[in-house]
Amino acid sequence: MLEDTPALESRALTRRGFLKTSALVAGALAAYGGTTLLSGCDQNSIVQMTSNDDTYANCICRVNCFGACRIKCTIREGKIVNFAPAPLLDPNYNRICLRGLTHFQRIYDPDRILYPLKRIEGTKRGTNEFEQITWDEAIELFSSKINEAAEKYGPQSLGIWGASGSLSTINGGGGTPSFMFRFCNFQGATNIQNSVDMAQSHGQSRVVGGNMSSGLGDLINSKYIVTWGYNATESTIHSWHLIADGIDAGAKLVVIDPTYTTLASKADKWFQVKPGTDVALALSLMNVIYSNNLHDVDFLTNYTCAPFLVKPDGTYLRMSDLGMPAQTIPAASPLSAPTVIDPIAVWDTATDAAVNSEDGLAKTPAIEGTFTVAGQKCKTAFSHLIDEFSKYDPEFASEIVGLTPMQIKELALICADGPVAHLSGYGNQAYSTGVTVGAALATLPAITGNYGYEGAQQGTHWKFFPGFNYMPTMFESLADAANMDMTKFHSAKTIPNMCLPDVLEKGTFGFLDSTTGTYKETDWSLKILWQYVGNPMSNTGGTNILKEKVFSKFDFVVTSDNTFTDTCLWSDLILPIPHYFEQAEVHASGEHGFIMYSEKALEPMGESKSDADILRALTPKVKEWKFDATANSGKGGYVWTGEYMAKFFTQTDDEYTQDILTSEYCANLNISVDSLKKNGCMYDGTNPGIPMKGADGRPTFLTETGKVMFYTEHPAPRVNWGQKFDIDFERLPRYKGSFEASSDDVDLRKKFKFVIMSERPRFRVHSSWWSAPWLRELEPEPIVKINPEDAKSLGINNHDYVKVSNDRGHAIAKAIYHAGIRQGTVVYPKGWQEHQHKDGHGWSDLVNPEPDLVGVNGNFMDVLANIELWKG
Amino acid sequence: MTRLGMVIDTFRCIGCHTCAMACKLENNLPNNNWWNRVLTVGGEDMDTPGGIYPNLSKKYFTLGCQHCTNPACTRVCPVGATYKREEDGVVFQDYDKCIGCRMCMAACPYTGVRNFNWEEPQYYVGIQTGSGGAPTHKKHTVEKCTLCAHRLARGEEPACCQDSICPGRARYFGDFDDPSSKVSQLLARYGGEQLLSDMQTEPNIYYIDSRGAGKDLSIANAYKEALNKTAGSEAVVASH
Repeated sequence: MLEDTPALESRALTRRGFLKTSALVAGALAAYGGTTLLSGCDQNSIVQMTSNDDTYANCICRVNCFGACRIKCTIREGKIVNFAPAPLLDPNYNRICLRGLTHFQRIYDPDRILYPLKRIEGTKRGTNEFEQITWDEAIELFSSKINEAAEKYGPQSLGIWGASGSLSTINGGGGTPSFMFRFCNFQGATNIQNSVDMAQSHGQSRVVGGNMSSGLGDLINSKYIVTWGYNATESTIHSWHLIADGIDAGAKLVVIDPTYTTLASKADKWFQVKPGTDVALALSLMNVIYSNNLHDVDFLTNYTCAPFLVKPDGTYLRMSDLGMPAQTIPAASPLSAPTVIDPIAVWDTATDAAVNSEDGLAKTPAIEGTFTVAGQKCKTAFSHLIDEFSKYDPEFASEIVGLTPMQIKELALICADGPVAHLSGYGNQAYSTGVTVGAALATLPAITGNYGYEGAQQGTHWKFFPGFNYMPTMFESLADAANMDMTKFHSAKTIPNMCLPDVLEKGTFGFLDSTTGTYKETDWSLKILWQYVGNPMSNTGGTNILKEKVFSKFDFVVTSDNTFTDTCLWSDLILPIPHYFEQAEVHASGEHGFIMYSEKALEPMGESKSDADILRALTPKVKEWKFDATANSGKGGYVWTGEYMAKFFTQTDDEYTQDILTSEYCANLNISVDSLKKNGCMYDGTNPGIPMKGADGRPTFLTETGKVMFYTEHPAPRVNWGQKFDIDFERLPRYKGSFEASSDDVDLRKKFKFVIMSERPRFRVHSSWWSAPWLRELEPEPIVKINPEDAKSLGINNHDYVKVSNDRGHAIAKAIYHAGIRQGTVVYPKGWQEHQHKDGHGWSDLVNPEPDLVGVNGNFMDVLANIELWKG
Repeated sequence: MTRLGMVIDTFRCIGCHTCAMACKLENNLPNNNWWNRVLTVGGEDMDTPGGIYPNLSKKYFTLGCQHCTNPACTRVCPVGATYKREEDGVVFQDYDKCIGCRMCMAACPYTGVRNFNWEEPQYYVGIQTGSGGAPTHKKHTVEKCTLCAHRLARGEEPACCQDSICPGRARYFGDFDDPSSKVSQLLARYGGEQLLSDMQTEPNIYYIDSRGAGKDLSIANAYKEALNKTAGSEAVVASH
């Protein structure tokens, strides 16, 4: 413990003026790159240590950079003093990065939050007026707010918003089966889904059922490595050496990116596309491939929906249309849906008839053409796709995507010359059209049969452990789950964060009415916001809108964190949590295929409590509610059962973690808390470098038909609340201009001259490490990279401060001349806190928080703005 | 004889600063003190390319003490605080002997690899970091990379070259006098550039480009040009 840490020694101390000091420090670093005001220690107290009595702990760095580094921490005299890569099962994946080496600066940050803090009575949110309170006071305050709101408005009035600040298990976010997830379900609170980087996977899932990336270890088998919107050398630096291994083994690197990234500087070919136009590019590539007869007819026929017949109403021709009754298999459990067996029909050219696609009798199905079946003109799915990509000949697409027709043809020939590894980042899907990007990029490899063998893959490289058992987040015990005892089942409703302004305004959200199968606007009051493993104020688009239309609408805002983020500033209560290395955890998400045990290197500092311990402290005071149809004069409502939530949170960390690791998947791999503790690191079954193919050596896809379904019969939005969208548009990968970056709105493009793109710099992960001083020595202040030609035309010199603004807000940053920025775009490294910018407004001010109605996904790149010299 | 040094593959180097940070952590470097820095060959600023679209280029290289076979610094030190170790070729810096005259800094042609502590060294956080054994920093002394002499004494590589530390797998450490060493083999295979090779200092840090993707971009030429541009100044190339 660092007892003499200057932060919050006295109980009466407030955080008044905290930001002023920090801004001063940032300014000093920026101006002089030298002397600092942060020196937290008396250097005379530093005594030369020897390493004889050192102890070690292998800990996992749990942020969402995909790295999932296992780090060997050295503990000396009770303090963590050194970090080095700890072994993974395959040493080629051993890793640490510049940020991981600075964890001690987060742990011993003089400004770390170590005690519960309460906004001082009578002050306004965002004014940084906090006082230290005891945990007892914090629990009393928080639980009474939850109970009061639940009594008045129902338990859903508590909204719980987790992001990806920790991707471990019991204290994790990002969709892990955490203790908090269980609390959310059992309380009947509202799960506020952090709607970020989900569009691509939604589009991809439509087509291939899931992620078809076989891992970066497979790149040594590729002829070409083609990257799409993937800033690997900046955002996921550990993927670079695996790409370089592929290059060493003979692969050519082809980079598709509006920006000349470091990856592009290593590439054999770089295609500087316009932002937000990847779908048009993919369609044009299919066009060239097909026009040159380079498509793989055998693959299309046998492994894709190409021969499936589509009726004039847009749905598939099924055997029930031809008189074979559909069979319905009842749902296996109350949590699953019945299965309908009604195979899709294809046109058999041998017999000139529509036949079952699944019985193996159609030897020569047509993949192109229109056939009259039962009086209806049915067209094959591939013919539908051909109709679509036929519009995008290279001459036409050239204008949209910003490449020459020759460049498009060149790239198409590369795509047809497999095995190709199509590696996607998340940059190209952060537009309002993100879902179609996922669908188009998953479709492109299918045209040439570039799936299911060594070196051929498509997708992103973020992996989620498939072995988790989510039942403990919903059922009171594993036994209750096994018995499907629905009296012991608890669930919460989910609302995407992007819908919050609307929900808070109207007080309703559309939820599925199971009796009618339709979505019904339902009264939905949200009164209390609890944020954990995240910093939404900084990382969600449209900060001003978030303040005005979200935060200010909540009666009470609580944040769990250990660093004083923008989100903490706008909170009423701040709960201190430990650093990653101060709690034991299982970690299973990331880019490599290992599940790991993260040891506890240190005791939690100050009074910090893990998410799980906070719940154990809170739930004895949180009332349990039950819906009673007779309550509220027969209108129905929630009544207190007379009991408290603590009864559901009696398990230890290990007991709960073992429950969520109790699955057939884990059992097959011998994964358990005990085996993880013993081994430290184990294969998670998604071993890197294994092509996605079945036991018979044929490609397998995770769709219902097991085939590539580029034609989607019933496209659904990623989150459904009954919203209207263009169903026919979504059935195929189709291109349209996005909200802003590639907008077809001529007036909008005239009003705002620049597309504002962000990068995820190696100096932070989102906003994590925003204050780490060694990283700030390297990157002292917000910058924006601009093409020198654009800058000069605006009278902006290199290193001038510029104001970047649109109707939503503005940010000030130092302009950096960068000849690799596409003219008409600028790029900023994201993750700064507001006070680190001159005049206190951050980049997220500029970002459009409006959800597209299909992807419902953060549009971080889909931003237009103007740039001018800032005169201060 | 033993001649320790490094080979840095500028194709694999992505300028991520992890090696520089490993050096800082291991040697408990005071605030704003870097013994190993990442320099961009390209535009005016860190991470920016040179040229005009579509003919752009960018490379990174790291710069620290070059551990010259014929160092300029050791000849001018009046007290023998900086000297070349006969047993392994490390150009060492002894803070106990250093009188802070900074003659070594003036003599060394590799501007910026040495650092002088004008004031008491300051630290953001009150702990001494690293694996243990690095000398304590002192006011009014000159310091620089020692190839982590304290680690060499334990049979370990310098922190910036320790196993798996480099995310790009771009850094190699070893003995150039041993033809079977990895560093000797890399030099034999790829050639390799030295910085300011015309100064007769015979540096033992070599830069290779394993893929030849930027063969037209000579690290040595870029470094020389940058030094000429900033002659007389402490600033070197686009650094942090």
